[in-house]
Amino acid sequence: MRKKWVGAGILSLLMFAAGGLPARAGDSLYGKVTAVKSGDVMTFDYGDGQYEIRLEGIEAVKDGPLAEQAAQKVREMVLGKNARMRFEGREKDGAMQARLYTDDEVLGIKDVAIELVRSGLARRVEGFDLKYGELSAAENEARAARRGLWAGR
Amino acid sequence: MRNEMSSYRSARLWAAAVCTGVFLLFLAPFAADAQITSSPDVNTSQLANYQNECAIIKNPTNHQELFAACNHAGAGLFAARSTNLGVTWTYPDPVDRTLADGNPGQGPTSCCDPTLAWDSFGNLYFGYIDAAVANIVILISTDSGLTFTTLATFAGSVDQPTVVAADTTAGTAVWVVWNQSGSMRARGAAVTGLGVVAPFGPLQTIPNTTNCSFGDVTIAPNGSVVQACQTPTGGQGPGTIRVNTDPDGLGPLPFNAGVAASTTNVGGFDFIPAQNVRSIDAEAGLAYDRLPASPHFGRLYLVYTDETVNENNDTDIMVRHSDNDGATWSAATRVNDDPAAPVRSQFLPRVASNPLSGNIGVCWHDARNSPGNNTMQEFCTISTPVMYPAFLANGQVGDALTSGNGSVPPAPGEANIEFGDYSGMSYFQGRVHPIWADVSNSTGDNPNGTSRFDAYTDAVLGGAAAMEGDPHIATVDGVYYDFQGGGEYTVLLDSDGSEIQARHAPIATDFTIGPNGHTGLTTCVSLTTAVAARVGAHRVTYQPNLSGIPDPSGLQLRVDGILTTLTPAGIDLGDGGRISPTAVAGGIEVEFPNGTHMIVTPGWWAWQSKWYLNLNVSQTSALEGIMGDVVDGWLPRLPDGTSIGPRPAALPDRYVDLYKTFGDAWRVTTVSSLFDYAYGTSTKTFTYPEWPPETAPCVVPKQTSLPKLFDEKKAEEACHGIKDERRKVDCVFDVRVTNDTDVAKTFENTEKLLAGATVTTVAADKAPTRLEDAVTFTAAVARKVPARGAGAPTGTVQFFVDETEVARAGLDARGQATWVAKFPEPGTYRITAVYTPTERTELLPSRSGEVTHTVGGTPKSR
Repeated sequence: MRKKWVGAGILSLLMFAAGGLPARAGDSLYGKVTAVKSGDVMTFDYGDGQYEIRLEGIEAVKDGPLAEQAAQKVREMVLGKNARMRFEGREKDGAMQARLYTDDEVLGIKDVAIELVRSGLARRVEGFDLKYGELSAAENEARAARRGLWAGR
Repeated sequence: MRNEMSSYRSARLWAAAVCTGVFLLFLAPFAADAQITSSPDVNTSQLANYQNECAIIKNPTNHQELFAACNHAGAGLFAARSTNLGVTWTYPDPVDRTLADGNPGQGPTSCCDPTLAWDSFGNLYFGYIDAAVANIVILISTDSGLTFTTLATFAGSVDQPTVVAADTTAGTAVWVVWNQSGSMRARGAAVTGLGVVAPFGPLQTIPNTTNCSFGDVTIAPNGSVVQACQTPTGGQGPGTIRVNTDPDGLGPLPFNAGVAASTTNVGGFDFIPAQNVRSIDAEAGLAYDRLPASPHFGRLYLVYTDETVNENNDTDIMVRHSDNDGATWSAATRVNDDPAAPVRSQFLPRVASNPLSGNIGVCWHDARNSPGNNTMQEFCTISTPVMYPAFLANGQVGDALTSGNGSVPPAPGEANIEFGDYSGMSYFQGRVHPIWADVSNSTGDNPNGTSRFDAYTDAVLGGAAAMEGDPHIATVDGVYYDFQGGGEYTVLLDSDGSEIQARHAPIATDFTIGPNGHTGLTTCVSLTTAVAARVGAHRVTYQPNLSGIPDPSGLQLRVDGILTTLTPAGIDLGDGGRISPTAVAGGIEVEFPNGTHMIVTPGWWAWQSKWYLNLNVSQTSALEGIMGDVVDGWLPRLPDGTSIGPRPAALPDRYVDLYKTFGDAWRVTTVSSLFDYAYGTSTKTFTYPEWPPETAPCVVPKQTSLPKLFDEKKAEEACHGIKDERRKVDCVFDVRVTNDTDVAKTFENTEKLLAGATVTTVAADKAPTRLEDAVTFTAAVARKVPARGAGAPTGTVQFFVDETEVARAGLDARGQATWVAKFPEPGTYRITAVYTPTERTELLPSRSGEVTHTVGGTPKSR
């Protein structure tokens, strides 16, 4: 499901033009990220329990230096800090899909997935975007600036 | 329906007992199957892609108006308004049907989680989370949702906003409660007029609410503010519902430390088959009894979801109450009345209390009819301050089972968010209006068919009630009994003051007849001969010539005591009240401002030179009176709200219960009577305190006695055209009593009206308009007596402007027709819609009330 890269941008633009982007209306848990497995998978502790969460709508680079850069960026943003996961649904494999936000005086409130895509350390999942096209905008910015996985293209 | 049939069978058994001379008293049928009624579902959104997590609110200053908002799968939030009790919906932004979508003047762009409140000044509050998921935005509208401006923005890592507004002894207040960085927060503001809202007070962090969310807030009549939340926020339970109170509301005191109001086995993210992707939470909700006259004024109700055994998916809707603003809580009452087995889930409840009656409404998603426990229908029930903790039988409101797959198949990477984590509900002026995400397309107008949610709503009321013939009573909750009193009685009384009274005239006979299936009594008989009603601010009577001289030409209609001629155009009583002629000659239909419909079908009994009436009421929220609800007893409640208790075993005791204790209690007085009287007469003139005698002879002064019962077989032949089996039994009974086969025709007329009577409303999509504007008028035709599965009315609608026909259009699949108008000159126009049904249907024509539409601008002639 996460291997189809070709044409994702075109599809997302079509979806946006049609006003058909998904409404994200999940519910929030507040806590801390206690472990970062990759750029898009981490452990979130809400005080009375933990969830392993997968960032919704993106796929972080899994191998090579960029993968470590992605995980490191996530660590810098949220590891051990106040954060918020906004649960969006359980996948068939049981993974908890979520959006993850910083809740930090210095960083303010930032969507970690968008920041990863903006940095070129993750791609937007084919056909997926947020309500106002935030992911495609971030990806376009990364492409234009040739950041991360878009470098040299 | 099951119990209705059992009651009917019981009645037949009673008849058989009479025929055979066998008294089957031990059968003692008691069909107290309380019913609420709803209409066919209404699709408020009819918008591509999906809408869910909806809120709905009624305007307390104009109960015809509703506003709804939902999450939307595109930019902005779906937003709609209704000016006719939710029958039809228009949109503040008719182009995209959304607000807060980036269009100018519609508020900051939104993410989600709409919440609504409407105060008694007419301020409509619309809260939501902004697109950055970093602010709570509160919009305000002072024109019933046509336009909005931004009232306040609260920044932070925010979630779960709830806005609420209410009048209190300390003034009117609006409060917003939400979760921020893991704890519940609150801010309140005083409201002193339309558009006059003081700055919000300082941010309060509510104590002991870390890791507590997914709750509600309400304002007490005394100004206290109470919030509920669930902890922990994650996991699949068990958990705790916590409640905190700010004892002085907008005063200096903070929220208190709170209490644990209840435990629950439903966790913050609890997966059940019907919501196996998105999960549910306990969805705690709060509502105050705000009616000063209520015996439990100031009582606080808490609704939430529990699970009988943690993780067994047998989730139930529970209610507790507190009489000290949340300090302590009662034991829990299970609201859903489905059997304990098989396991079926009930989830996402909402609670509200009607401020005009103190009644409590609860609605929820219910999988009881889902074979796999993975789809749901909306269900609701109602209770009163007196009958609580009992509730009326649960009523199915959603017309069809809907799955939660209204946002699937998702795009790759997208999750299916199912019904979301809340639904909406409003309860005011006797109507519960739930709103929920529905993908069944039972309305046939979902642009995505059965693949994407639309936002469905309905109006939930008390049941249909009747007083037919030789008074055969059907109560609003489906109990059938005969009431042969002599005099004038309150037959239905609503919390808003709407009332129906009926006059029962005794009939002299040489026999008694019975026993009645419910009461077991065999008595003398009477007939309903006149009706009076309080319709909004007006008093309406339909009664024989006041002179007392028999007048076969018809009954007399009076409005506020003035003899009135009823024309086909009907009589507009204002505020939605209306009198119109029935499609059957001589009858009248009365629409009450609160939505109650009454049909009066008269018949002329030539032998006795008397008019008699069949009285049928539908879509009523009234629960008191001779036709009121039967709770914890064998008859409707007494005027003080108490039950008359269980049915006595001995017939003489039943007689005393029915005609002395109960009947006399509901007699009208010279003060309460709504009837018109000739000079020198009053309700006392028509009062027969000893009627009916318990045994024959049944003597009435100056009245010739009927010598014998009419032949039963001939009576059955006369009544063969009656379709409803219970009514047919009543018809035979009445033909036998009156010795008049014309009685059967009156029953047929009633049946014809009940099956086919329609109501037509017309509403503009915007008002007032300018000369250059096009305005769309939508006429909506509905059956006066709702019938699930009967389909929308078919036929045509003629639109009239100042009594000149200007357009004609066929009804669509929803029973609606539209006319797009552009007016030639500024001015005020009167719009009317007239419905003509398709030929060869049982449907009957109807005419809307007049809608006044104002057009501004410069006259073209200048």
